Amino acid sequence: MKRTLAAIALLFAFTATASPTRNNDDSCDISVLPAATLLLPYFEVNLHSYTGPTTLFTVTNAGPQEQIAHVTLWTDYAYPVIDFNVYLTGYDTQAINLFDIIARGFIAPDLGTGTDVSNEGDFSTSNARLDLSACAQLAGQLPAAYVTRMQQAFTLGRVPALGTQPACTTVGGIHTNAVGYATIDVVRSCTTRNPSMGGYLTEDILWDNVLLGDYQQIDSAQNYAEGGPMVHVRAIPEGGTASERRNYPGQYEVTFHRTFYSRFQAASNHTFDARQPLPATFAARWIDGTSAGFRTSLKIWREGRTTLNAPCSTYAPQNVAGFLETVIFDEEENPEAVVPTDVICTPIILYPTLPATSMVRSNDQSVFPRPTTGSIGGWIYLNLDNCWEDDYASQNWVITSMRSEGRYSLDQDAFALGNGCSLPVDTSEVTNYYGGAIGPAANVNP
Amino acid sequence: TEDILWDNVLLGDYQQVDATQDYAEGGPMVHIRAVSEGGMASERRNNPTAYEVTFHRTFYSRFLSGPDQTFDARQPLPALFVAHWINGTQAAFQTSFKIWREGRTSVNAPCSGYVQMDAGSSIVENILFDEEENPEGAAPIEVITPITKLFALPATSLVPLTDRTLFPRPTTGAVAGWMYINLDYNQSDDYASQGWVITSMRSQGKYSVDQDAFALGNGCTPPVGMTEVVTFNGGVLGPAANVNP
Repeated sequence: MKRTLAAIALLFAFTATASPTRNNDDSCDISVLPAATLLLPYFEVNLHSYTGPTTLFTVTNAGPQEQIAHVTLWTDYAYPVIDFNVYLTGYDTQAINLFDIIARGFIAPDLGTGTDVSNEGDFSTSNARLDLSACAQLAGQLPAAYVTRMQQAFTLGRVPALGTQPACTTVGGIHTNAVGYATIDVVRSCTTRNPSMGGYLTEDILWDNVLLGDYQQIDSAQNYAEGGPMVHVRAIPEGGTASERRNYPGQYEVTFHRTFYSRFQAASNHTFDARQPLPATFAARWIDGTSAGFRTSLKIWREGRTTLNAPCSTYAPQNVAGFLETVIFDEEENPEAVVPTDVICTPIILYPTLPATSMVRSNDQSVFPRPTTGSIGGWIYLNLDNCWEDDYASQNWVITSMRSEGRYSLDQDAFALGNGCSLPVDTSEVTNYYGGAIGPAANVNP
Repeated sequence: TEDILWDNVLLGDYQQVDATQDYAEGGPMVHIRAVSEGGMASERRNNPTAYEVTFHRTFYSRFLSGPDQTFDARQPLPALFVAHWINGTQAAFQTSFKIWREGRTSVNAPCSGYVQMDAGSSIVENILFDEEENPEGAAPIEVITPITKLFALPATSLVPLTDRTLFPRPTTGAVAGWMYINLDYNQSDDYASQGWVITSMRSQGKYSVDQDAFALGNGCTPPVGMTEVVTFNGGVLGPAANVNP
């Protein structure tokens, strides 16, 4: 299937006559532009000390109308642990420290957010499409049972039963610090659902590209800070409500073959969320060693494979999956590669594997090849697709995190070699005699 | 017209390290793609349909002329940005902006042209919001072509948030918020001039991060005039419309 699609893509490349677009919303490319969904690919929080690593993020509403931002915190097995709403007036900005939420159980101290407590600026306006009936004062302090559940989920990989939510002992990995990722969506009401639940993607979400987000990860004890923009996932086309988009499909035509949240939607309507899909192939710089103590880690987010209302037993096998290939280049262009010894779909479950989110050292030989030339720098090619025999490459995001001398640190997004609409890419000629050349994806996406 | 190529293959990143000040910051460079890509100069001149450039102007347009004005095919950069800021408190937060602006000299410009054109051109507007959405706006008193009064910035600069010659002051005592910046240097012409902004935040003399500011449109977005924050009949501040003419 993949090779047939590749041949078709080549045909399109030579015969395409469509003009390049100038519009903001006509691309699969991810840019730092106002978006309908934000992704924080990786967070880490020391729950026992304020001086340990913590993650902060800020969400801004770039438009004049009030909005509701729905935040979902997921484990590294893509299990949705907790979700909450943040009310934003026009041009509002809200900072969140995940230590406050996970360690202390407090969202947006001291007052939380809501129509009764959030200030409204002179140029902020109302939004008639929102249902604000449940948004008067949004949860400041969480009940103790929720806090316990969060802490166990993010550190021990298990959750006790709570309300209608059953217990589960395989929701995540075991970590010293709380590890996970976050998604933030514009929604029309202060909903109690999250993307993995029925109704969220068909009734709750909106399609206004107005959110801006950035994060910082700070560790006072280790003396570093790093940060950058979140992943800005735009709705294309934007606008409208769920009913308007259902009633006027021609006006709100989604041309993506699949979207950011497709896995939670029925096959008959799996692009309704209209969010841009994320790419699968990346190039990331690395530098490691020397007397300066250089070290590179990659913060890697990967699309889970569990679907709507997934049972407990599916999170571990579905959301910790293999990937197609990593190739490390040194500064003399010498490549070393890692591929699974056997490719079995669906999904690739043989060594090596990565969960839905992780931070991995570039010298971790269980994941990345080792440069054999003694080189201290270069770049890594990553093909994070979790199954090469299907129609679409799975979604991913990579952040390169570099540190030095115990005091210098910075994060930057890795470079995508295509976008979420690019065709799946097979193993390269570095590891496969018949493989293709590593390089940027072709321009035209079928 | 002869030397450049159009292959989208380069990846770049930067780091700025200051051992005496004990900080490091960095990020990706601005990646400007050739659209459409490929071919050589002669091939692109001989087959204009195969290498159609639909931009009205490009990154290097000011160095090109006539029918070749978009020959480089590089994406133009935007003029409107939003940048997060935080300043003060015991943690000694400070925010600066690394601002790049398109020069105005053209090909083979004389020496005198650089001071006149690129040493400092004004911007349309800055608006500072605090965390309660209270805005403080700043704009030149008069708009003439080119804008030559107040808020002049050169082609590249590192400007602290607290620079009152450029940025408004939060009057509410707020320590954080966001800044709207319209870097266009002439709101009366057809295209907004190109800019790029990096937000650089530091704290406690040891923590530092850089991140690209958020663009509210792209390089094809029409020019935006002053907003209702600073002028009675001004437009509404927000993301640019999707469709660019």
